[in-house]
Amino acid sequence: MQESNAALDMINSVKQKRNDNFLSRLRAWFDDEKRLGYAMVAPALLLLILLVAYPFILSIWLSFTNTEIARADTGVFIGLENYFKLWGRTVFREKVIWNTILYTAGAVPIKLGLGMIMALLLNRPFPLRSLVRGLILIPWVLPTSLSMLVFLWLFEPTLSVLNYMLENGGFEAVQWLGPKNAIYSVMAVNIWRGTPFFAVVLLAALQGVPQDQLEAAEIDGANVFQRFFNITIPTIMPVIVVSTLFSIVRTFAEMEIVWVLTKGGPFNSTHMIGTYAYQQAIQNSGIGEGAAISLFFFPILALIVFFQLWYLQRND
Amino acid sequence: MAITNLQQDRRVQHGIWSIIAYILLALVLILWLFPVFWMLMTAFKPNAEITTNAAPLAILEPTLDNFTYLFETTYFVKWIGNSLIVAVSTTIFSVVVGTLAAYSLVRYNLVGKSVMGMGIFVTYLLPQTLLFIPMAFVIQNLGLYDNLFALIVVYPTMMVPFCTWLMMGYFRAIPLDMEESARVDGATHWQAFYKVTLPLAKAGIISAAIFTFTLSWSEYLYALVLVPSVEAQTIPIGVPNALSSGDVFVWGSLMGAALLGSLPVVLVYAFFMRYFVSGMMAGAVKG
Repeated sequence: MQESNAALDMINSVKQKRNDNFLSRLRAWFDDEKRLGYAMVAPALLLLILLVAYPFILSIWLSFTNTEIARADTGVFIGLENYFKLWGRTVFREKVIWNTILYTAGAVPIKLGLGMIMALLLNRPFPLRSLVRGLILIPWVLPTSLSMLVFLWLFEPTLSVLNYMLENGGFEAVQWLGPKNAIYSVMAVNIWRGTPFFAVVLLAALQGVPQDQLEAAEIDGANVFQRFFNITIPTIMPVIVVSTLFSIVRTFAEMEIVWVLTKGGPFNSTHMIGTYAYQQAIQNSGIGEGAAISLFFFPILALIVFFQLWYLQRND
Repeated sequence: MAITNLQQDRRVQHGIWSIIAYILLALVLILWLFPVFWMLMTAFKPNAEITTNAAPLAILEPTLDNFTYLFETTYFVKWIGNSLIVAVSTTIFSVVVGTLAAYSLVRYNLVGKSVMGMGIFVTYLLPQTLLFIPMAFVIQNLGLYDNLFALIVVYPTMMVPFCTWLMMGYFRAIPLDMEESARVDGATHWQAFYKVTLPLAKAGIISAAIFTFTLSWSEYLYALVLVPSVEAQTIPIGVPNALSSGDVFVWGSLMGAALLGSLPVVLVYAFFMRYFVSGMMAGAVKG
């Protein structure tokens, strides 16, 4: 009994030593800036190559083929046919592309402007300020597809409280998601969701505006607007530029708000690149065509990325 | 005399501005919080009050029926579970991988360091809308289509770049001298990172984790495309699909589901607001 225990101990200690040797050698081998450095960055790099770079290249290839969901592997190279087909389609030119531009060019400046006003309001002292600052970001924090359900309910034509208030106030009920209004309603909802983002980011930036400069300017007789445009704006300009670029990307790549509210309808009146790509690729199973639609994002995206990299580098 | 007038002018001006500011603030709060208020109201209204619109701004007989309906006739509990699994796994994976990469890119002199940094920044900007079609293709070929695991594989492609970018900012701000003195005392490179610098970057890790959790919990497009079966869906897909099929909308339960489904992220936000805002700044501004 005793002996066998002693033998076991010996075996264990040998094992232990071998393990220690292996571990310590491993540790020593990795105690090198280059080796450890590459090992640490490798998982992230591998992930991005396999699941971002590869799919991106794949999507360019797919856009030149007639791949469909049902016959995923048998797509045939058809050159630029998908692109020509798309460009020849009125819905694509007059709705999808136009709506994407209108939606972005309309919503982003309003979000920035209203966000700036909100930030300035929240920057003033008032009772319960920190509570209000917390509450204002809630529209942005809520999962979008869930908050869209509230808007679906608010825009409901017969039972909705919005139309109830309009009718009781002596106005006519509005078809919020009807063919004429839908695109504007959808934009309004995007503005509702995106403005608090700008407000909070700009509010944080406003904390960095030198208070003594503002006071000095006030004593020198500069009015509110002069102080705002000559001191505040230049100080927070980098934040304005970068958050606006970020918002442009997120806004023109929008899919969720439109899809939950209108599915691109009625009569394609709210289709954007994102919703149309989803409809053609997944619902109508035209993977190749869908890939081509998505790639219409690419030129604008590339432009923004270049500008942003240049801007960040310049400001470093 | 002139000075007193000026001061008086200024006081009057300040008074006018603060009245305008209060009016605007009230308007902003009403417009932005009304939908949230409306979600709360409808969730506790009995169906009869919803369909007759008897008293829109009041609840005459508060009820929990909408929630009961949700639990009894839909997969709501399953969706919550699915969302938790996906969000927690994505968060742990992305924060670990992103933190390691960020440290390496900030501290070590690797070949191609700036190209890798730029690559991470660019992938961070790529919207899902650009990649969801080839991603569906890849996931199908991996045999993960219609499997919750697909989301755990795909979400890190958005979240790892975000975590890396955010953590790079934090690591840059931590001075080198403590690590150097640990090295002099015989610590390995790994120990210098793990025992000295990492604890100092705790705030960044919390921001990254909270933000990753929130974004994974709310993600819509990939979940919509990759996981079509109703039992495998996450909250953002399951709720709108199941409760608004056809033209029949169960508004009370929909609002109840929206309320409960938002609760985890709202709670996380409420408890970690400071970290949340710094994550937002890092994500949107520095990057």
